[in-house]
Amino acid sequence: MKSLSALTLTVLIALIAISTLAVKQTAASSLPNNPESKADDTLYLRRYTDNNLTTAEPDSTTAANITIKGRNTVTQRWVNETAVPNGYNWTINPGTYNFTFWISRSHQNITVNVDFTFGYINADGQSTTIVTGQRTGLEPPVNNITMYNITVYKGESVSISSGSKLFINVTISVSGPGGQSATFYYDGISQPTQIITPSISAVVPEFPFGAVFLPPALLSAYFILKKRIVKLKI
Amino acid sequence: MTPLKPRIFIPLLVTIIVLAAALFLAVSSLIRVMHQEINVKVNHFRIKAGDLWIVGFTLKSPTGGFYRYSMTHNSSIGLVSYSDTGYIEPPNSFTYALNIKPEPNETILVNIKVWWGEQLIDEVNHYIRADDG
Repeated sequence: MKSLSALTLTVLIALIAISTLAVKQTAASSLPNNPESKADDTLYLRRYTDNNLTTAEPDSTTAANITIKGRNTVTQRWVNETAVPNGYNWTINPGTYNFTFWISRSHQNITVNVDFTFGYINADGQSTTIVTGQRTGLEPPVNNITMYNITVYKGESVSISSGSKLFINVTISVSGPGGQSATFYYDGISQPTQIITPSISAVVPEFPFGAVFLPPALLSAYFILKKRIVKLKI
Repeated sequence: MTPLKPRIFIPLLVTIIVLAAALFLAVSSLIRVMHQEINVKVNHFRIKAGDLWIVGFTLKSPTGGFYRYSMTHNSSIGLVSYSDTGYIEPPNSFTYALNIKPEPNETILVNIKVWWGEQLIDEVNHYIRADDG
């Protein structure tokens, strides 16, 4: 009877472990296949040591000026150069995401809409958005580079797994005469574009108990079943 | 009818018990997943920060899934419309915020709609005035 109880227990443990892994596998395989193209990414975003994430300070050779003509929309992506370090997960605490940017316009009849998206790309290439912020109808003084902010308050913490990369997407759309334009500046010196996140904590990932216990559970189930089958044959 | 031999009967009984346990686990998992799918939450907010209003929502779901949202508001340049889609990876949530600055005595109507998959799950109208707060 003891061996029967052990057999039942082992088989149950194996079934639970298998079903847990199967559910995880199903969830992972149901993610859309959305590999991110690295070709057009501009790698400026970095992490500073004060536990907040800000954009880097590209030198003058890497700073970007993006000019958008009236009635057009442009999207630009910046990805961080280093991933979340292996062996750690990041937790971004609840708080305020503050995006600072600089724009100018060439004519008083045009207005500018800017939205930014901040998120991460996990090790499988899946892109996930954390926050999106938007400002519309901006009218900076003509030919005068002007600073604006977009503020997003997020009351939830965010978990980012080891090996993920962070990104910012910025979309600028311009309404007004087609011959006129607006310019967006991504710069760390004269127009310091940046996103400041809430504080970030690095945590050691959860220990994968399921994956560790599954092989011994399966092995014991196999040996016990084998023993029972041999007894039945006798 | 010949009774089953005890050494066949016991393994058979064990197998039936194990299968019943597996079935129970499968059904309970299915019920849990179905319950979680319904439990998608949208929390709307409107905060005044200086002369700006921060209007938006946070979408949270216990299961992964695709969402879509749209925002429209009236402004000096006419009706502004914006929409996007994305994917939620639990336990994380998605937050959208529109920063607007109404002129004195101006009322801005902000309409926000949120879909989970193809289903419209939430719609809210905010009326934003510069002197509110």
